[in-house]
Amino acid sequence: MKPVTFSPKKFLKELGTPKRHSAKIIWVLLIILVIPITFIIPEFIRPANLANVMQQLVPLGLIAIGQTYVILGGGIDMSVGSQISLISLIASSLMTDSPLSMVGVTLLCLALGLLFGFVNGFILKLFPMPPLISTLCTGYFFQGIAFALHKTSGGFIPVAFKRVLTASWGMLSVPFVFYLLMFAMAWYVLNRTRQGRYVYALGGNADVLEKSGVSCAKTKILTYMVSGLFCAMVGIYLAAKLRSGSARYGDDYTLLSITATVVGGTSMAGGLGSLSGTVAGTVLISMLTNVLNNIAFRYNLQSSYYKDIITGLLLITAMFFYRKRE
Amino acid sequence: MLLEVKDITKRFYGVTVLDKVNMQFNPGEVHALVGENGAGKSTLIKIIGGTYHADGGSVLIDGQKVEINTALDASSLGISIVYQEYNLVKNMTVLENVMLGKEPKGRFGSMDLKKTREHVEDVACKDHITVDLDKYAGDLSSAEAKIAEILRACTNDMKFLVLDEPTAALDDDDVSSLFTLIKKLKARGVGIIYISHRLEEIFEICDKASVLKDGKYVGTWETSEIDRDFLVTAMVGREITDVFPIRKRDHDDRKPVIFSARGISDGIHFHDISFDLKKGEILGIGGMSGHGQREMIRSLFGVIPLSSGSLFMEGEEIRMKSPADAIKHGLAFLSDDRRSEGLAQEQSVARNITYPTLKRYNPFGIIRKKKERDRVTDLIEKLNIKLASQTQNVQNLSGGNQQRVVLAKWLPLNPSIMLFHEPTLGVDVGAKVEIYEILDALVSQGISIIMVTSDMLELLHMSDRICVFYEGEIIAEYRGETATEELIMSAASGKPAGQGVSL
Repeated sequence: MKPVTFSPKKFLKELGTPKRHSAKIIWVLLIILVIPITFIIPEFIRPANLANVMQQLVPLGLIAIGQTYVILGGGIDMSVGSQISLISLIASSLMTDSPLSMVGVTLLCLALGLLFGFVNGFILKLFPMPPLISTLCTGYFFQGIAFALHKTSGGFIPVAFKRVLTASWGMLSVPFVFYLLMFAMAWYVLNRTRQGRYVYALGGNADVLEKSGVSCAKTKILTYMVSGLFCAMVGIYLAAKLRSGSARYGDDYTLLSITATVVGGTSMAGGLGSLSGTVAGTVLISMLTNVLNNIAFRYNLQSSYYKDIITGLLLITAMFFYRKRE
Repeated sequence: MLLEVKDITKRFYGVTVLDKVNMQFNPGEVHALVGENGAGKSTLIKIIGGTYHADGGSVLIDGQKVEINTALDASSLGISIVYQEYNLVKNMTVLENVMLGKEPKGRFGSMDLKKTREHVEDVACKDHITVDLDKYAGDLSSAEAKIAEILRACTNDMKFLVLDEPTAALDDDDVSSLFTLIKKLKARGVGIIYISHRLEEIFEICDKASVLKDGKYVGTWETSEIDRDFLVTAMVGREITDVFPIRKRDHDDRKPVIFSARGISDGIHFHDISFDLKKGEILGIGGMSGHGQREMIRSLFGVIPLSSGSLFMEGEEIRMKSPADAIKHGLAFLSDDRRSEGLAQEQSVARNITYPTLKRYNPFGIIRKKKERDRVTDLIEKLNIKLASQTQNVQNLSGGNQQRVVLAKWLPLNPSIMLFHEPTLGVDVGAKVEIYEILDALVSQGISIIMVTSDMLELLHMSDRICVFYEGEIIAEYRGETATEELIMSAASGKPAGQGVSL
């Protein structure tokens, strides 16, 4: 092991010229942003609010992990929102009060998530086309099924299920701990296993990967399956939290997850980026959302539109900022 | 172990690229595979490497037929290929690249990173390969990248190593260190198949040479028994003097200068370039690729903006902000990359030909079909383009015919200066001859040509004057008839020998 030394000069230099896979910039930016925010809106750092933010960021955080896998592999998953919505409706339609049903339906939904991801990847294996188009299409497909199941929100989720999934102790909550766990696992797979390395190679230069004797198609399918699995988790979680499913739950998450990933320094071209950056991107978006909500509450404004504006601006700014690196 | 290809045949879209090719490669031998562009060398290699599948024939190892369907099959049989194209993942380190696809397993599904490193360091040490394993592939020089790819090949238990144009982007020093490495591998018993366009390299490093011509096997010779001219004649299939038209080069000082550049640079790729172009001459631009020629010729056509310097047309300063400006001033540009810069591949020949002239012949933006057809028919006849119909897609034409379509596109504009970048890239010999004749005809009509080329024979035989680029500057200038390959090569590697003709 190399001794860990810290030199401020080197650190600043590294910030000026972004290194590959490094997420330092976005973390530093995040910390710098926290300072003025705490001055302007002291409510932000209240423990209750922080606990709130930590819980609110979980769905986006999980989806963004999956999206990062896909984007690192040179793809993009435009169907995450629809997958979340569809899973939430399937869960709320099938679940009953019995514990067996709760476990069974959860497992079924996770399996379906993997299946949806498999479909996304397999279509690209069968008909090579831009993933932007193919996943947009499957997204419409999933959303269509969701609307066919329930035009508005509906279904039923037992109270007990909600209690388990949303339990909290002080600052910590079940979803947040789950998120940390999932991040750790996803990080391990991406950075310490062969499959993870193949994801980077797939996005970096698929030709080289294929010539190294690794199936690109398989690796690609894997990335979409990871994304599908996280969509299923979030679908179940949102259904439990609101005790019903809806064909609209996932709507925001497609663009938000891409933004979190790209703001976190992952290149849209694939092969370059890190999960740590995606976490920072998620925290940044969740923090800004929370702050906007606070401001809106103070001045009695409608906040959701401003949030959309900010997300769009954030994504474009990030793309502009990182363009030099490619 | 003996590697053999037998009766290998390969067709693409009905065109036979390899026709019953037979060859034998021995271990501990450096075997050159030579032939012109499009002779089928790379296709043969890709069949051995499992990228393509042969339509007929077989690959044999020690007389046994083997199936090679994927790159993995090839490497498990001990065949490693270093392709001409860059084959590394830029955002991964050398170590990660070298071991991609064969990382040793550790605990919990992880990779054993320590074992990986030890293994690679072992191999590197054994074959005396020095390259920084922790550098990102994207930060490597082209020589280092080649070395890294060879290291990757060495980590397989390799019996045969195919090097496809390994020296195309290397300078002299790098070439000699590559040769040292090749000699070591050869001494270890590895059979090496060496593809190169640089014939002097073949006589330096190779034991045998096999020639492919138009997809057919011509023969194999010991390099000690043949000379350069023999090899060239075998490759081209005719004497060189038959390929190139006999050009009369009169260096008449009274010929008016039509176009000149004074101190132009783009700030990155080329600096302080000055030259004069006379009416009706071919100015050849040579040098190793990647020394700024590509960018320079594009900046003359307004594709790449100039950061300083000025251009003059018949003594008047002109500004080139876009290709539209350049066309207005009477320039035409034939790119080396027809696929992306020359032709709309999936559109018809007729459409491609009339793009630059649409504005001129069709007032109010309405296209007059019949007139268009007549004009296109005219040009097709004049340039002898062979095609099924005007509405045929460009992509199905041969390289030579495609190049003629590009010419047909520009000629109606009556350009006074034509910029050629690799005019005969991907074109077979027959078509080459015709393109050279066209070039000669254009010049005798008073059109001036600037030609950037990496084809040494083309440069020597076609140019009235030759400027050699080195690191973005003109390092030497020679008269076409007195220049030799040696003079140009040494200038291209930064050490001009003798005096060129002053400007």
